[in-house]
Amino acid sequence: MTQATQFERLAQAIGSRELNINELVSRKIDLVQRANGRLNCFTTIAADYAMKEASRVQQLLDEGVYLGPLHGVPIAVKDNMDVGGLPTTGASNALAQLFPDEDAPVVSQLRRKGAVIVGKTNMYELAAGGVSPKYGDVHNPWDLDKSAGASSSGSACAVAAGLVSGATGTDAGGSVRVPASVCGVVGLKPTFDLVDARGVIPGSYNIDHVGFLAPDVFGVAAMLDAVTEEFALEEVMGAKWDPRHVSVHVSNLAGLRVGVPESLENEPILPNLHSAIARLLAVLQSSGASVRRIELPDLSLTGTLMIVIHAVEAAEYHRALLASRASDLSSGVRHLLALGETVKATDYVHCQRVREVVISQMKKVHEQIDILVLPTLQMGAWPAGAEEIDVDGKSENVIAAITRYTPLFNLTGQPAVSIPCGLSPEGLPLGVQLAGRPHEDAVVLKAARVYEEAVGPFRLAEVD
Amino acid sequence: MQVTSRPGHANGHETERSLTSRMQAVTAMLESAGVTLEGPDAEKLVAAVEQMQNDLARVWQVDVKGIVPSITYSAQRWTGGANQEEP
Repeated sequence: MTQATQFERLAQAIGSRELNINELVSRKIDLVQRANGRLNCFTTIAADYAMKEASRVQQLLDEGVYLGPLHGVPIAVKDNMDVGGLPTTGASNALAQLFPDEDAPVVSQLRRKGAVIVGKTNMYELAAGGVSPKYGDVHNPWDLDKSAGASSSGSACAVAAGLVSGATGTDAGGSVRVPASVCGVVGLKPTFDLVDARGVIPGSYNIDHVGFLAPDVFGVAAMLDAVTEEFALEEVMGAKWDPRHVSVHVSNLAGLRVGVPESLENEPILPNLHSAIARLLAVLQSSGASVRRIELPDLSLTGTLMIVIHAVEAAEYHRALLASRASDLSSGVRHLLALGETVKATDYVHCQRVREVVISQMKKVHEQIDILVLPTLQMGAWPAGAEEIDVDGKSENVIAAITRYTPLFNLTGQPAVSIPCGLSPEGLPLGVQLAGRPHEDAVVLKAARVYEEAVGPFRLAEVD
Repeated sequence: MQVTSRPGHANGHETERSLTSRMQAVTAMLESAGVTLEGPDAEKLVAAVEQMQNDLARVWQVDVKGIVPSITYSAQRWTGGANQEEP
């Protein structure tokens, strides 16, 4: 018998009418208002909006209409996505502050399934590099002096601190998975193009993805289920989910082939992470999966390909902004856009061809395995504001260090989920990615869920 | 602003002069928007450009014979939302 985890427990309590949505949302708004001064994870706290939404979905419930596991669950939306009636700022001083009338499709799909949006989350400016000059840095709820990760840091922080039970994010090189890893939550980058990205400020047309963060695997799976017909929550749960019953156990992974890189022992990752990965593999094996070593594409190349493609595409999209409002941009964004301007067209096209090489290499890898296990990061959260960090005794640029393991799946479009996996010697969360073939998001999430069931609910940060 | 050419660049026609001229174009663009790159800010950008050129030199060493780039823009989807009329 499985132990229902945080998002799932909340969904059960609402679905079985044990919890009043108005009371729940009111409590969450109060918590957000009290915590945001310290954590700085929200750009907009939408108290009135959220209470109206709570009333609407509570009334539906009172009328006997149950919309599924998102019904009444408080969530947050990254501030590069439109929510009708709330500002979209991109956490930038350079954009005119606009109040869209309409939701981005991903937002309206989540609302249609009953999710209650309590606010917009802080992020790296324009999801294009660097702390927002408009709102400042997000603080990691596990240690306020540590970074909360990359672009979707506000979303990860809000989930980790228990302010909301789910959040949206975007991920062009790891921006959902890296914050999820350092904040100790689950972060899903679904298959490329599975989630509608209209109404979202583009980072990179080719490698950016809309994704989800939650305290548990159930949460990200429920949000994905709400926004695409291609994926069904029951594929992960093993049966149709019913809020009145504790979920069935999904531990059977018989036939699943799991790969780990041949080079794992030599990777510059914390010893704690080595042992955490060994434990994860043992859990998957004990559930019937087989594990084998595989050879990966050159990971140092994948970081370069990601930066070139991202920089060029962001520079093209934001060119007018750079030419007219550069003084309002953070130096991080200015540098990324300027970097994109210096890349030649031939370099860009060659990177796209090398990207195809990487995709074909990963197709070959997946002839041998169904899912791949890879660290999300080498370490836990790094000191806030640091430009260089220590990795395996060597000083390394932060951006280079944190994009070693994640961009591979942005280039290939494969689904990848980061799940909490052990703690660093400082007691900070570590993360591991599970990745699968494109459109096999359910296979990845099912394996993640099996691990979660075996180790018990992932721990959230303790916030006063 | 001076940047150095990429060492051992495999496509063979990148020169210090062409890279520097692209940097000058970017610098002029920024200056027209009221930003003068100087001091540590300028050094950081130059270092990033040089690093990228070095990294690109490695990318050019990958054999792509017979590989066709299938750029996968999802233009129908990434439409920019409320801020599509920026700035």
